[in-house]
Amino acid sequence: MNTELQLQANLDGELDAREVREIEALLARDAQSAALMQELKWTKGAISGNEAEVKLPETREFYWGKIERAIVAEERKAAAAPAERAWWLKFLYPATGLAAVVAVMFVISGGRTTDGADTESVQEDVNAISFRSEAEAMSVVYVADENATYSPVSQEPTNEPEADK
Amino acid sequence: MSLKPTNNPSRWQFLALLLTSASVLVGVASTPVETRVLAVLVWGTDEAKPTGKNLKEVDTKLRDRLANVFKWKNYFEVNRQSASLAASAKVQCLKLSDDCSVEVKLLPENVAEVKLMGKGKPIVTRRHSLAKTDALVLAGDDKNKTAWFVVLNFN
Repeated sequence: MNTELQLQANLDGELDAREVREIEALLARDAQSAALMQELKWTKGAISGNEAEVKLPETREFYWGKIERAIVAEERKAAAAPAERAWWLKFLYPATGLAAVVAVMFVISGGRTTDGADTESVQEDVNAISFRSEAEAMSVVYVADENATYSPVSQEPTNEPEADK
Repeated sequence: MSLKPTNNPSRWQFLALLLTSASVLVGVASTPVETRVLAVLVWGTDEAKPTGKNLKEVDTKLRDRLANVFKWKNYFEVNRQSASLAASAKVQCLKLSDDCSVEVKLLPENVAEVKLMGKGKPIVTRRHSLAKTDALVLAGDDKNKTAWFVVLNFN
C-alpha cells in the first residue's frame, strides 16, 4: 500500500496499532506526508460537515402509497378511455352514404331495374302463345298458323343491305 | 354545432374526394347507356339444307338454345340486322326479308317495344323488359311443317 492510501486509511481509522505507529513516525519525519495528511483531514471535514440532509416530509409507507394510488389512477384512466376505432370504421359512414347516393341516382336515371313489363298484342285473327324458357333465357311469342299463310323466310330481302353494322 | 375549424385537414380533403367521386359516379350512372339490338331471321326445319338457297346454319350456341325449346332439328340463318337504339323513342326498322321486318324502339322504364311486320302489317307487338338479359324470340309456323324465328338480342 502506498503512502497516500496509508494516510487515508489512518484517517478513516482502518489501521491497526502497529500501522498507526508507523504512520505517526512517518508524519513526524516527512513534512510532505504531514501536509498531505492535513489536507485529507480538511477535505473529510468539509464533506462531512456540508452534506445536504434529505428527509421525507411523510412516512415511507405514505410516500409509496401515493405512488401506488397514482399508478392505479392511471390504469383506470386508460381503461375508461374509448378504444381507438378501427381504420375502416372511419370510411364506413361515408361509404354508406355514397352507396345510397349512387343507388338513388341509379334508380332515378332509369337503370335496368324494370321487370315484369313483358306484354304482347296480336291481330285478332292471329293465334299466338307466349312463354319463357328459364333455362335458355329466352322469351318466346309463337304465332300458331296451321295453314302457314305467312312465310317470312321464303325470300330474302333484295333491296338495301343491313341497316347498321 | 361548433364551426370551429379543425386542425385535421385530411378530413376535409377526404370529404372533398368523396364528393368528387360521388359526382363522377352519379354522372356515369345518369349517362344513358346505348342499347343495341341484333335481329336474326332463322328458319327451322327437320329436313336437310335445301339446295339453291343462300342459307347457313346458325352458330352452335343459338342452335342448341333453339333446339332445347323447339322441336325442329335444323336451324338456318336467313338474314341478320343490327341497330343502335336511342332513348328518344325513335323507331328502328330492321328489314330481314321482303316480307319480314321488325320495328324496335325504346320506351321509358327500360322497355323495348318490338313490332313484327309481315307483308306490311303488324303481326305481333311485344313489349320486352330489358331488365332481364333474355333473348326475345318471335316465331311462327311456316310452310311444310317448318317454322320461322326472329331472334332479338339486346345489349
